[in-house]
Amino acid sequence: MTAGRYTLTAPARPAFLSGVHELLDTIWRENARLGEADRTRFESALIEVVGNIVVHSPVPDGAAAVTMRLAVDCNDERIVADVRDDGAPLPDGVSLDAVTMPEWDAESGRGLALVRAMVDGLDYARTDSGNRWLLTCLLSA
Amino acid sequence: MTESVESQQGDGVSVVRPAARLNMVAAPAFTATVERLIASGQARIVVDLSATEFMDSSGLGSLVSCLKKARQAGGDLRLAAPGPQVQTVLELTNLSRVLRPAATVPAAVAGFES
Repeated sequence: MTAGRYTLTAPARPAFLSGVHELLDTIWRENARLGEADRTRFESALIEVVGNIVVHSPVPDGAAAVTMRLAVDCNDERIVADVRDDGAPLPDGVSLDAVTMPEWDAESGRGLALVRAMVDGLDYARTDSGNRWLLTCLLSA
Repeated sequence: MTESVESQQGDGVSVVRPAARLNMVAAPAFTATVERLIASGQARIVVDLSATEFMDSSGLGSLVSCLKKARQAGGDLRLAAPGPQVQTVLELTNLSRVLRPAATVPAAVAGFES
């Protein structure tokens, strides 16, 4: 498999989710070595992160939408998503290390716990220009 | 692509088929459809996932909400025919134990008879 980079830049609106699915469909087509289990956990985790950003990026009347920039890199060993947005920081008190799976009857709060369960690496950083998430899946042999 | 409600099965079980992607975009409409069924007295529900290729945490939350409402109304909610991605997120969230997916719609419907 040759190393490849795929990008998508668009407003942080629900349509971005469809864009991510389409981008990943292209990547899966062009990188046939990626197994179903790896594809499933990467796509599921990435959609959770992107969906979180969309939900937490409301656009007040007349204001510009938050812009999201996604770059996916894959090679023989790993597939990595670099997700950046120019929106507000994570609320105080949100700690990726403290995320746990809620009880069965909870109707929300599973997103980040699912991401943690599916990827091999998850990093978040607040940068000068916004937020940056890095998701890494090591590929199965 | 919106959800659809199948014809009633025997024993008053309703089969609902969600969108291909049951995510934050589609989940509110799915929840509303199931709530309408329950409000009309049909609280025994099978969710046919055979056409649902992808589910996110919003879809899971919607299923949990619908399950609780169905049980409060004296019914129940069962899943049928989840694909590999849906099966994976159900297992990672421990919800497969509660939502007990059956392999097929008839098997899920039959679960109401036992």
